[in-house]
Amino acid sequence: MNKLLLTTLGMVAAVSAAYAQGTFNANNNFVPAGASAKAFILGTDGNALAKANGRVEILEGSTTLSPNGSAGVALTLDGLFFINGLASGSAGLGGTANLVVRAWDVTTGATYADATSRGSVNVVVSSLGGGTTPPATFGNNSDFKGLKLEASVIPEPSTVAFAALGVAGLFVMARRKA
Amino acid sequence: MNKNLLALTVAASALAFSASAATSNIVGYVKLALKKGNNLVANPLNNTNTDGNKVSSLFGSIDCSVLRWTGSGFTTTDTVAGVGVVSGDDFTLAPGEAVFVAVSADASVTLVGEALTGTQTVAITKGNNFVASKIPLSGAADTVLGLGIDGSSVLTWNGKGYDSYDYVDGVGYLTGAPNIAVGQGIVVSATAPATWSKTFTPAP
Repeated sequence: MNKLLLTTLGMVAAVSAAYAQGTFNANNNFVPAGASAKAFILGTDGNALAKANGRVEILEGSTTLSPNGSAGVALTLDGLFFINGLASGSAGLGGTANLVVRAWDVTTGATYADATSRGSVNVVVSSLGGGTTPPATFGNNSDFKGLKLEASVIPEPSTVAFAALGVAGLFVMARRKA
Repeated sequence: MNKNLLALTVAASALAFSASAATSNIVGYVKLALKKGNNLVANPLNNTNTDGNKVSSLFGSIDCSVLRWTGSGFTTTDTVAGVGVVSGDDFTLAPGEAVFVAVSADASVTLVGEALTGTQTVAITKGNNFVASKIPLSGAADTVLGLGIDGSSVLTWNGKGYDSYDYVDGVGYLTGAPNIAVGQGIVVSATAPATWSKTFTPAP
């Protein structure tokens, strides 16, 4: 009986969590406390990432909350994104959502996974909205302070091949010595 | 200054006026002070210029998000100072409707337009209504602004959440009537459709 009760309560909790819909708006059109510039998405050169090249994706765990899935949302202005009407899948009204903001230069790859110029940062958003309570914002309710893309170094295929040959050679030598 | 202007200026201390002697229109401006966070505000003046009451005209000079109630949630219109509306609908915010304006730092806007006179009505539907006085007066919701709907609650925003004032016919507001400022928005939570009516007739 107790087991049945616990199972039922667990299922209720799981269903409640699945439908938690604490709301927030994600835009970086603000100057973080102590900073002198807005919380821009910066390119690898340190300048605001060009509107035409920037993509942003917002995830909660492994779930993409922003539109367009892994293709991301285009920047609205150079360095600035405006992604509104988002809802947490795990936190409700007044709750806190743990997010990941990913950004990348679409000229180096169509998705974050493919891009060689990219960056990501963990973001905590609190005081989520819902009902007649307005949605939380990055500017007022999060620790987002901007994001600078980094160029990831992907080895040339020939480099990978040489490395593989080297490892194979070491393996052969070790076998011969044995 | 004629009697009309004097009456309104006394009633609405936040309001500054100028007027043309040739017409009875009362033209003025209201400075809305916005605190970091969410501000429940309204446009208390009717700007008759083309697109004068649109979000881009009212809030396009600052960085903000304007949140409009849909009946079940909010739509968002974002503005960037010097650019205007960059995201969402550049809708018309006429006197009588309230919106949240979210700013990440203290800011202010100056709204310009005509004060509405005569009998002004605001339709209240069952449920939550984001509304404001159409007439730029400040004072008690019942005695000054004429708002008292049986079974309803007036919700005022305190920066973090709502303060609630319940109204019962024949009794009034149970915890005292809220004082509403010029340009302040409120939520009227009603159990049935009603009409909020207020008449303001400037003295000749």
